[in-house]
Amino acid sequence: MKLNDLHTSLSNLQEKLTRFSFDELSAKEADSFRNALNSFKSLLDYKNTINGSLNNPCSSNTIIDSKTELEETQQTLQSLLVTAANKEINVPLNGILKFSEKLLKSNLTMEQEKIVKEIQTSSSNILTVSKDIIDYTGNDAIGTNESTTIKFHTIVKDVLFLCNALILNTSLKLDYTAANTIPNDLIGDPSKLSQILLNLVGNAVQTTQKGEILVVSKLQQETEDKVFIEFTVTDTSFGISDDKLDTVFDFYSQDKSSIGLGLNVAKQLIESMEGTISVSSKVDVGTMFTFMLPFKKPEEPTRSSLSKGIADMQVLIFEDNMLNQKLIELKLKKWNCKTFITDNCNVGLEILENNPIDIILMDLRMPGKNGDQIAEEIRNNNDLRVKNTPIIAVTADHDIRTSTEFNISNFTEFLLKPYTSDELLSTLLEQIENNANMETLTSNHINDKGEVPKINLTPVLNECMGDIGMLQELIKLFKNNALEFIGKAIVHIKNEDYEGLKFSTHKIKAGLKMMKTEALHDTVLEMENAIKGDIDVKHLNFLYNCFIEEYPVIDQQLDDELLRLAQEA
Amino acid sequence: MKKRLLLAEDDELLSSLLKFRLEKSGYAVDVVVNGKDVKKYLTTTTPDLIVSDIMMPYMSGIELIDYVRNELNSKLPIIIISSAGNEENVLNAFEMGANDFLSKPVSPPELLIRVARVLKSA
Repeated sequence: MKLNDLHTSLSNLQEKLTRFSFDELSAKEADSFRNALNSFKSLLDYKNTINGSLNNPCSSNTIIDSKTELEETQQTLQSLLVTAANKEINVPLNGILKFSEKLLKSNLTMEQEKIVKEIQTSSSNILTVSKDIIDYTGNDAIGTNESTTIKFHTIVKDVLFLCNALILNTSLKLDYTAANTIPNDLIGDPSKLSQILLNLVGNAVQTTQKGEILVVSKLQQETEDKVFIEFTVTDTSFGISDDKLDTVFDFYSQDKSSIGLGLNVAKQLIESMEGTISVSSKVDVGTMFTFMLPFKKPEEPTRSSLSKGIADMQVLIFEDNMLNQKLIELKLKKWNCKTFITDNCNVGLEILENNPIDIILMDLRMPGKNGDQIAEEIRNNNDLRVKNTPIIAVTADHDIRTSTEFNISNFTEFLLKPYTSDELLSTLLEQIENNANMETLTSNHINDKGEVPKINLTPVLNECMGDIGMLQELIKLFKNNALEFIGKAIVHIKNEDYEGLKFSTHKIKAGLKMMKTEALHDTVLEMENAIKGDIDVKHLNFLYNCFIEEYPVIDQQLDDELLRLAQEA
Repeated sequence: MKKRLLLAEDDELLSSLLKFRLEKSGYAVDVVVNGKDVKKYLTTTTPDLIVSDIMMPYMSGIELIDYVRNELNSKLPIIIISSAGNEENVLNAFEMGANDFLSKPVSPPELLIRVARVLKSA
């Protein structure tokens, strides 16, 4: 990324925006968007050509006689060209992302902002897909299928959104109808699905002058472990005459002017997924491609497999009711946890001190010392391990989170009575995960190899109470703040406006801390120190440059992490 | 009746998160981003509590407390959010009549507890 460009344009952005009229700006920027998208599309076609020719050597009239020689050449060429082509795709895609980022900073209407955001999501998803393509084309992968959990509807929607952006012609419409009987979570190859759709819909966009392209997905058949999804892509193009219909999927199609080479690739991909494709067409009416793709259904994780996650966990239970004691002991024993049960504070503390307790379940209402008081004593214990043991409050008080009666900060989590076995299990699992996250966080912190530690946003997602949309919103705000900081700080430094700079550093600090971007946070702290007392402008500039060099890495890591968490959710 | 909080915070990132958490806990939350807007807001609305960053454009948190206590003559509870290393200002804030304070980075659960506590004793 050209950082100098980035911050120069940012620092001048506000100024430029006021100078341009809004309409002028959006039209101009929209054009650039289109160009970027078009170059992406043409590169994709180019890549398909390569894939097509390389994976289909028999149907090409190649002059190389020796079969081994052919294969060797093919392999070298394949790995070289595919990598190169994918790199070429990534460049305009990144361009789109960067550009939409910039566009978001301008005065957009709500509607425009929504569109730009959609472009962003779509392109970043496609970017991931493109990276996947590198992987599978790299090792003759048309034949191999990746099998991972995919969000079916999201993928289709993203691809079609991108296709829609390719339509320059206002008399052409792209519509999509999805059967909501198709489950969103499926197992299959996301990059293949995207590429098939891109090729077929892209082909329709190319061949259709006006009218409508209609994409329909239907659940054709469902078995115990599989779903069969049928897509139709119908367009209002001039159609294909009967004599040419047989050859549309051939690599060397007669009618190259109107039909992209993508059809050949699409067919190969579909067949590699054990799907089928057919075409029907009527001259002057239109063409309809129908293809069927099978996907596996994800297995529901069973309680018994989940409970493996908490096996050997040591649980201390404060509970005075004998019946409840027995019940919980029974459940936890079944999940192979080790249990300690008491209703007495001192006994409990002794158990805590002498056993590596992973978690405490604390009934709040007990005779003698109640759960709140015991929690307080645990938190005040001198032993760091004892003190930091997660405590789950078990209570029938459903307003506990806003209760002022208890010091709720002593509790890690709340389990509301009456709770089911599943709720108990997932609460315990969550704690195990949190502990694991804590450990990664600490180990990141002492990463001394000079590498940038990967960002872990799970704690932030927890702060958002698991709401991924909220997290996404926070990341967006964080990025805006960071870009604003990059833009403003350099102006402040140039103008020697250290009061202004202090304000900027103050404003960005909370966000840097929240997003766990330690390195950037340290840099900003150093900048703050540098403007106390004698000011060393050179050092300030150096620190500023550190920040802008580091930032793009963080930016990317945030996206990756968000994607990871979104996929987990 | 929901308790209404005014959140004066110029960092949109922090205010979004805090607003989200406060609203989840059943408060009505209004956000303003600078001292000018705090004044404007207070002419039309009296919240049950103000949570304010100590450092804001146009009017600092200290000036805000001064304004509420001495110009509006109001006992409206105020919680100050301060950055680490700003201890001196925190003392000033208490002297001026702040009810409580939190250090950045703000932990949402801690804020919820402090808000509940201040509202209870108000």
